[in-house]
Amino acid sequence: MSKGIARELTWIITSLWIAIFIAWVSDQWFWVLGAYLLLYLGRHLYSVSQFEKWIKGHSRVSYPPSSGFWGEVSHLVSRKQRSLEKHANLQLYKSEQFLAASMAMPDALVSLNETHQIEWFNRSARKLFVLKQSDIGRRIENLYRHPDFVTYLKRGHYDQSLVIEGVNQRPRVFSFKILPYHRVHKLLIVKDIHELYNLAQIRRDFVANASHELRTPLTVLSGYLEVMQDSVEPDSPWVKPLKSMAHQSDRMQAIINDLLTLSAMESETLTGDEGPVAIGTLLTQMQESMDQMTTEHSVSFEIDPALQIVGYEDPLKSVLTNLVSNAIRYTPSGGSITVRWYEDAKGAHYEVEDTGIGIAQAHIGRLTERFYRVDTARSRETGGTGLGLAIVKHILERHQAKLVIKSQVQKGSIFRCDFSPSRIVRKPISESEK
Amino acid sequence: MEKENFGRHISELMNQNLEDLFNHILEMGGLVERQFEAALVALGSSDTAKASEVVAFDKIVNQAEMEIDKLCSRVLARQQPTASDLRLILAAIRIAIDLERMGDEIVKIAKMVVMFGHSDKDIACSELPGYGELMDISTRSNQMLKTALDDFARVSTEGAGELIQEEERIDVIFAEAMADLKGQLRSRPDEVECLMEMIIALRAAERVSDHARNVIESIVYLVKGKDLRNMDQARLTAFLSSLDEEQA
Repeated sequence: MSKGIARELTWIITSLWIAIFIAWVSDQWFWVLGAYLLLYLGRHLYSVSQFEKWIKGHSRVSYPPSSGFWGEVSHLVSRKQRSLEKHANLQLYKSEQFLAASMAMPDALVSLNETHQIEWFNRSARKLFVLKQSDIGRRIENLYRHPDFVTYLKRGHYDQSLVIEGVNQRPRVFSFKILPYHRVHKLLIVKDIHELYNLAQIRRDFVANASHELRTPLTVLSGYLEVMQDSVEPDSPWVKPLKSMAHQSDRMQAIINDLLTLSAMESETLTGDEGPVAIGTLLTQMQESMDQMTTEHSVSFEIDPALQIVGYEDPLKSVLTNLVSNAIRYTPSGGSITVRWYEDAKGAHYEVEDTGIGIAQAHIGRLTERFYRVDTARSRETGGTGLGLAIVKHILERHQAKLVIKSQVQKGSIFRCDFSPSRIVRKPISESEK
Repeated sequence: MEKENFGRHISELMNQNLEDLFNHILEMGGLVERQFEAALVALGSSDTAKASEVVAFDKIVNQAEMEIDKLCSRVLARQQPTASDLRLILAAIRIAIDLERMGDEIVKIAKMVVMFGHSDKDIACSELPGYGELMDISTRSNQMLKTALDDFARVSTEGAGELIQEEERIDVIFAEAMADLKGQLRSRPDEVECLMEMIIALRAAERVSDHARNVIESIVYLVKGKDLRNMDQARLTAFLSSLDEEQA
């Protein structure tokens, strides 16, 4: 039996005994019992009103009913309330702790709602953007108005971060990143990447300068080597060493040239303007000069001559040759190589398929790293620089294109460049080409 | 813009248009700020390429102004706003014009950098008299522009007093620089072209600060409904100190 009913029954039985005793003494059964019922009802109503007052919390002096069923109910309610309060306190403490943690973050954090109004921000953000507490509810782009940032915010997809030099007179480099979180909210994270940015700059400059400085002495060396090769007797013991030296110096020059190309790609100083590039024509030229590149492989071309893309001509040319020369290098003699240039629903594709030695799955992800080699001994032998695919990747990035590599060991590989449909231009086939 | 400022309109469309207008002004302000910052960098490092960029940037600023004009006339024609809404539109038109002019003046500064970069004479603009003052005035004007736009974004007049004082300070620096350049013109007649260019750039930088002051005057008009332009010095000082007291 519930506690409330038990308490109520106890009260009824006790009070009923008293009522019966009074009725027995006075012998007025009807009136006494009637009065008792009224009293009982009145007590209930009074308790209900007391309970209601107490629950509403109107005045400080209202107490909960203390006896019978209503006493038990108020006791339970107050117990529940206390545990709720305890829970709420714990939640409050947790959320305060969380807030304090976000405040202590060295990166600037600003939380935005779906219309980019500020919800809260941390200490670093307050300093960086010179925000005030009253700015909560204002739009972030009203207070930080850098046009690049505004475009970034409007664009709506935030996979990449945005780098801005100098924020509010602070001559440092910052990276802006927006993370959507909790349904419609967005978290703006601004990181100071000045040191990192400078380091990358220094590395780029160093590579470019060092390669440039190495080029001149190397030219002198290879020049003299050529002269020596010409003047040496054919049966001299020096023929072989000289030939090997010349070969190695050629390789060194190739590496340096590739390094220079790479650093030019990275420092974003592509010379010239973008324009329609006739990939078909370039490939036809390559086809004609194929004899110089290999005589041991059968190379076939499947070219769509009218398909052109917008891009930088010289870098694209080096993408074309790089992939073909890779295929030649890693296909044993007698193998076949197919070069395709075609269009489908997903865009334009340049594809080089070979029946070469193939690449194990584990290596494919790292192929475009600089100087990454699957088999060190072999690639040195064949004379690669180790930079070809890195250059290809950089050039393709410039054209928002992707390099897809599929390969099976001992069966062959497919290297495919995917250009987006927006870059395609079709040219009418002119008279001379018909 | 926060909800409570523009959230009380029965006409939801009007509300939206006013908010758009507000955001457009600040976006345009951001463009001019950026243009000025780029011009400052170009000036500091005699970077001709950057200066040409600044010149080309002006087209975008002009376009932004036309956009704001269109928005203003649309709201005026369709919704006949009154009171603070009307003031917002009047202020928006004025601020847009001021910002556009600022853009033009900034282009003048950038053009000087371009000219020195392309001239046959081997002169760096940093060696000319008046260069220090030009940098000083430009940096201060840029800060003023930022303060004015921040105030607009917050619909407050917090920076008004300081900004107007700053504008007067710039006038003094400008007058001194001009006096100095006059003397130089007499003593270095063979460099007249360069000095003229410097005078034009200085004038342009000073004009930017004037426009920044106009912007803050429009903002005071928007927030307080008071017109600062026809106040004499004594009343202006009194009004500004009353503004400061309000904030304190």
